[in-house]
Formats: sequence, C-alpha cells, structure tokens
Amino acid sequence: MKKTLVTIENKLGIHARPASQIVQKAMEFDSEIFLQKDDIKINGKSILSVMMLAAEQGSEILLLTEGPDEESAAIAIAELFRNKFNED
Amino acid sequence: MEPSSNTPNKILIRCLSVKDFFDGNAETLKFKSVTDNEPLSRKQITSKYISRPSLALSGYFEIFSQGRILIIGNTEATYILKITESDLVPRLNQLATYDIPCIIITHQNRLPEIFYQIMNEAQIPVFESDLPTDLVFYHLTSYLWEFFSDRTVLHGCLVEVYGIGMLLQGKPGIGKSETALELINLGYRLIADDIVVVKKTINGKLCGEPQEILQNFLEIRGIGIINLKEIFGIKAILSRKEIDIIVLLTAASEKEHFERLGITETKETILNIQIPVVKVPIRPGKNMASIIETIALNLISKKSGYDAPNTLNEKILSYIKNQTGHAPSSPINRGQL
Repeated sequence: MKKTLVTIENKLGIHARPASQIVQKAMEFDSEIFLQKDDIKINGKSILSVMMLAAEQGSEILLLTEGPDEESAAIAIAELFRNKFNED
Repeated sequence: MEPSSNTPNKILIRCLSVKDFFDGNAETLKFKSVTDNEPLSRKQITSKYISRPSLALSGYFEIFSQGRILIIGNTEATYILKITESDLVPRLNQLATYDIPCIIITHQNRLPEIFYQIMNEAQIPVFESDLPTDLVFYHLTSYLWEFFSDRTVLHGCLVEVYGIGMLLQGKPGIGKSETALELINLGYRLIADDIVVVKKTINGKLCGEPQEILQNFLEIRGIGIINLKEIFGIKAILSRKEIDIIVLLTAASEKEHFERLGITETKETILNIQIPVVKVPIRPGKNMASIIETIALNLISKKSGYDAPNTLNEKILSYIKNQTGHAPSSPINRGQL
C-alpha cells in the first residue's frame, strides 16, 4: 500500500473533467486506487464517486494505491494534480 | 476512435429507366400513359431536375436543359390550346428533337391531338396525372433527389428503438445481430442486417435501407439465416429509417478507452453528414438490449435539452464554490449531493 498526499491546485477543484482524467488514468493500472478526502474514502476508478468528493482548490487528498503497479500509479495520478489537470 | 469501417463506398452512377420511373410513381401521382409507346425501358432519366417548357412553346429554345422530365402545367396547356396549329407544330417538332425522357401533363389537361402524335413519333412517352402541378413537382423532386442522392453502403445492423434509428457497428462476431435479435424480442424493429444502404435525404439527413435481396434476413451465429418476418411478423420490420446515432460495439479491454462522463461527443462523417457515435464495451452476459435502449432514451432526453453530466457538474461546481473557505467537510457529512 502506497500513500501519497496531493493538493488540489486548479481553481475549479475536482469537477467533471478532472474527475474523468483521474478515472481514466486509474483505469490504466492494475492496482486498486482509492482517494481519501477527510473521512471519506472512495474508489478512484468510479467516476461518480470521484465527482462526489467535490474537492475544492487547496484541499488535500490522500491517494492510496495498492497492487503490482502501485508505485507508478501513484506517480501518474499525482502528476495530474500537479499539472492542475491542464486547466489553469 | 479506432479506424472506422465506414470507408465510403459510393455507387456513383445510377440509372433510372422511364419504365421504372413510371411504375414507381404511377400510384402516388395517378399516372396514365397516354401515348402508344408504353413507358420505354430503354429510355433513361439521368437528371434529378425537372423542367417546364414554358418559353420553349413560344419558340424560345436558347436556354433549354436537355435530359430533364418536362411538366406541362395549366400555363403551358392553356397556351398550347390558344395558339394556332401552324404556330404550334414547328415548335413542338423542335421540342421533340431534344433529349426528353418523358413529358407529364398535370391537372387533367387535354392537349390537341397533334401534340400526342408528334411526341409519339419522337418516341417521347407522355403521361397524364390528375394531380395539380405543385403536387407533382413536390413528389417528383423528392423522388428524383432521393434516387440520385449520394449513397454508400455501410457494414452494420440498423434498428429502430423508441423511434431512434441506431446503426450498430463493430467487428464481425461481436454480437450486432444477436443484439438486434434481443431488441426485436422486446418489440423494436430491424431495418437492415449486415449491409445497410445509406443515402442522403433531401433535408440533409442519412437514411438507411436494407439491400433488397437481404431484406428481412438475419444471420445468427450457431443458428444460421433466419427470416424475421416469418418468425416475428410485420411488427419486427421497418423498410427504412433515418440514422440518428451509431453504436460501436467494442470488446471490453483494460486498454480501450470508453467515455465515462458523456460530455465529449464523438462524431463520424458519412456522406458529409455528422452522426454521433457512442462506443460501448461488450462482455459476455451483459444485457446489451437495455444498454441500447438507454442510449436511445438518453439521445431523446439530450435532444429535448437535458444534459445529465453537465447538470451534475454544475451541482458539483456550485458545491465546491460554497465550500471554499469553510471548514473542510465532505458532501456526505453535510447531507448534500
């Protein structure tokens, strides 16, 4: 299990398009991928769940990856957050 | 989007014999053949345009389009009856030298005998219609435009679900016909299986039809060829349908990307017309019919102006906005969303 703390840097937060990018990226990996915000942990491969987090700019998300490619999955998904989902 | 199987495959030259034209319109236009020569099968119509002789009857032939069906309406008929035969005959003789596939006299008008004689000698069939000129024009324009419209042949299975024309496409063996069969069992209709003849309609839509020989037949792997009309009756069949959407059935794989939000619209261009494409993953045991039904209903809902993904997104954006600056809490804790 790998834990990575990411911060939401894009202005609009995780709305539909960023959520879609997270899920698409997550689907590329065999590992299980979860996102945790506050006390809510959701499946990173489910679009509605990711949207439901409604995570705003500045909030922190704990990225949990577990499986054969947990390292690379964590790096790839954290990269999306760092790139502000190509939004700002 | 994976490379498409919809490579244009245009049938360029279409020929319409006067006989087929007559037979195809006799009922709608109440055609009667009035000259001795029965509608000639060797005479061909090559133009989708219709003309009225009008000024040619007064001897003005400088601009006269060859190869078009001529319509003689009230104006021409009254004029022909009014002028003297010595004026009329040379003009009709000249008219008869042009390439005219056939002449249609509308409104139950009756012309002088000499008219029929001249056209008969020139082997130009003359038909009469009881209908007014406007109606004849309207019917013939749509008939001819459709006959001469751009067309292509696509591989796939065309079904009608909730009034929506859906072209199921995908690799051979993926289950297009089986999906169509499920839909027929639910009371929907099949237009064409395997080969769909697609043409552009006069109002810029795509219309699909079965290839005549294959109409009503469906191949189901393991069973073979079945005749839908024999098994399910007339309720299972539709002879033509506008294509509203393409559903691309695709083998589910981890690597393949499928739309998750429904915000990005993929389109495919067929005969210069754009048709939305939905790619859906197929897995054994998955109920495809209910997915296809939902695609149809979702399209109807979208057409009526509702957009589910954006509505949800608006909700989320406004939630995020209200939340910024407050103590962190998730939507579930606040009993929202």
